[in-house]
Amino acid sequence: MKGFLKGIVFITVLFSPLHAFAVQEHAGAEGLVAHELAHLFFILVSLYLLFVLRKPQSGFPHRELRLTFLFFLLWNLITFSTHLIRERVNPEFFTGKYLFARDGFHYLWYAGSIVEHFFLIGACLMFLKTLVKLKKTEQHSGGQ
Amino acid sequence: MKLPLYPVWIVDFLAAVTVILITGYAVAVALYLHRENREVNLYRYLLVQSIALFVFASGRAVGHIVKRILLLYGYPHIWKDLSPISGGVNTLTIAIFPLIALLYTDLRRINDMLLALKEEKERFRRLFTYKQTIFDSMMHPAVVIDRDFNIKDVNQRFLEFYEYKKDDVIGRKCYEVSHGYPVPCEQRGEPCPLRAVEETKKGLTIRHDHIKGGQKRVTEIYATALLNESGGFEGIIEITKDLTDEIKAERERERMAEELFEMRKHMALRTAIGGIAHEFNNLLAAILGNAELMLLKLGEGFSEKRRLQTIKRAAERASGLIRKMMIYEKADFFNRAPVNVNSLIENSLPELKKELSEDISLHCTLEPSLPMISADRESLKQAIKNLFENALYAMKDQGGKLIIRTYTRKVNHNPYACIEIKDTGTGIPPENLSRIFDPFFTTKDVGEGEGLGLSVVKGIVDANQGFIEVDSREGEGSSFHICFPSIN
Repeated sequence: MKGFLKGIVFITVLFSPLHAFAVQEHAGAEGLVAHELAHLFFILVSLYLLFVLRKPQSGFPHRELRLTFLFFLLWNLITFSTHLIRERVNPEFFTGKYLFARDGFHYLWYAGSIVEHFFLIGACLMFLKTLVKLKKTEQHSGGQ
Repeated sequence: MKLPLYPVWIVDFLAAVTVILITGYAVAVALYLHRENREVNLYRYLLVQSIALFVFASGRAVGHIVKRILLLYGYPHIWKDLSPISGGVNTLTIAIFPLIALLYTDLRRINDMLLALKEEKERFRRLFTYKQTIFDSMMHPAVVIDRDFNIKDVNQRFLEFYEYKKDDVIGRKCYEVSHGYPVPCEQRGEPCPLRAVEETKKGLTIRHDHIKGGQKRVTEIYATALLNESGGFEGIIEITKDLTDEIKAERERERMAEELFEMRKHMALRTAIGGIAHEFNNLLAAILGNAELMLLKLGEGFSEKRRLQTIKRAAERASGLIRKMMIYEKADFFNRAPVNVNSLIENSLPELKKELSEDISLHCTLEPSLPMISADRESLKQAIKNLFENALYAMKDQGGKLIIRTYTRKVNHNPYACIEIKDTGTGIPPENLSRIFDPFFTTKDVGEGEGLGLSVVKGIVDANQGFIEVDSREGEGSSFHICFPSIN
């Protein structure tokens, strides 16, 4: 009976005639902020995992997984920075096929846009290596 | 400073393609791991992560390429509309990947589970190998049968015994493989170990005839129930012991024991009869000698002479009897020489035919290529005569057909010359068959025979290294075969 009353109260409050603020609006720089927060989250998780995985686990591709998150950490740091720098670069300096570099940020953006790919490839390769090693371990133990 | 953007674009493009390829391959590997080990959560996480990474990589690459194309060809407004979607997917996947990684932060625990799982697998593998080794090293054929008569497993001995390959029997019905039946044994009115065990859930032992290479084998089956964890009946394990050779050996042992008993019996009888015959022979010699002397001394007209002649006839008859007994007892004094059995029979026939009555017909078939034998000619004639007279006696009331036949028989790859004397007379009752060669055993009426005819035949045959066989059916007649080793 108590549960039923609680249910009635909850439904009444939920559907009470108030202004509908349920759908939040998102505009402007929120996209970048959300994206940067995702990168930040990735950075924090990578740091956490690098800490957790500091001790080798027997029978597990520990080294490969650590390298995966190390590459991801570096990639995230570069990407995170490049996104912020991009915000400081005046679009007028981009003229079709060229960037007219005026200050250090321009050079940093230019370098970051190229270098970040190598870290991402490195991270993906290490992740693949982790999986391949696990597969080999499984096949070895299964085929004995 | 003017910095060209094409290095950014080229690296962007090549890196995008590379990352798509790497992450695509990663998805394939993760999928394999997950499929092989569905119970390991880590592999499920890794699969979701791989997919997230692939979506991130491809979304990012497609976004970058589309962006370049649209900006290059002057459609910035379209990119402006698409950009948030591409960016949203990108952001989402960037968040998902580390989020899932957090799920396996307790890698030590997961890893322990993984190791425990592997150890369990290894333990199971060892246990399986151990049990399979026991199963295969069993002395008798063993088969695992499910409740629908399907053969699930067999041991090595089973394959050797039935001369099958494993693939030929697994999945087949037990009644097809073991009996060659198209339907279960119970439908043919034969006991079915599977159903019997299913009813009682207890082991049982039954005898079953199995088929091996088209030949019937007598087997003893021990069947025991296979139960699942909840005690439900899953099938049986059947262990088969082939008794065919054992039964054969047992029968052979019995036959040999019987033969040994017969041999000892005849030896004992011969010793006893020999002793009596010799003593009686001496006594009869004295009676006959004195009777003959008294007959010579007594002139005609003495009434005692008739009585003396009666004594002499009786003593002569007794002497004949003693001779026969001595043949039975000590036939090894015979002079053995090469004998052509066919000519021996041909020479004896005129004398034998004299004894034939009108209602008995004689048929004689002699094998021309019959081998020569080593025997005492006179005693062999006596043996044939005795058998001939025996056959005549069996047909004395109803008449019939008497057949004398010679033929060659192989005994242990050696040729034997055999004589068959067959009649269509009264036959010998089965209960008498084992006694017909015993001295003084007779079914004849009093005064018609002494019961020494067949024992004399046996004595002669034994002394000539031969053997004698009888095949008789009451009311149908008898057939005596005497065989002697060839000297060729």
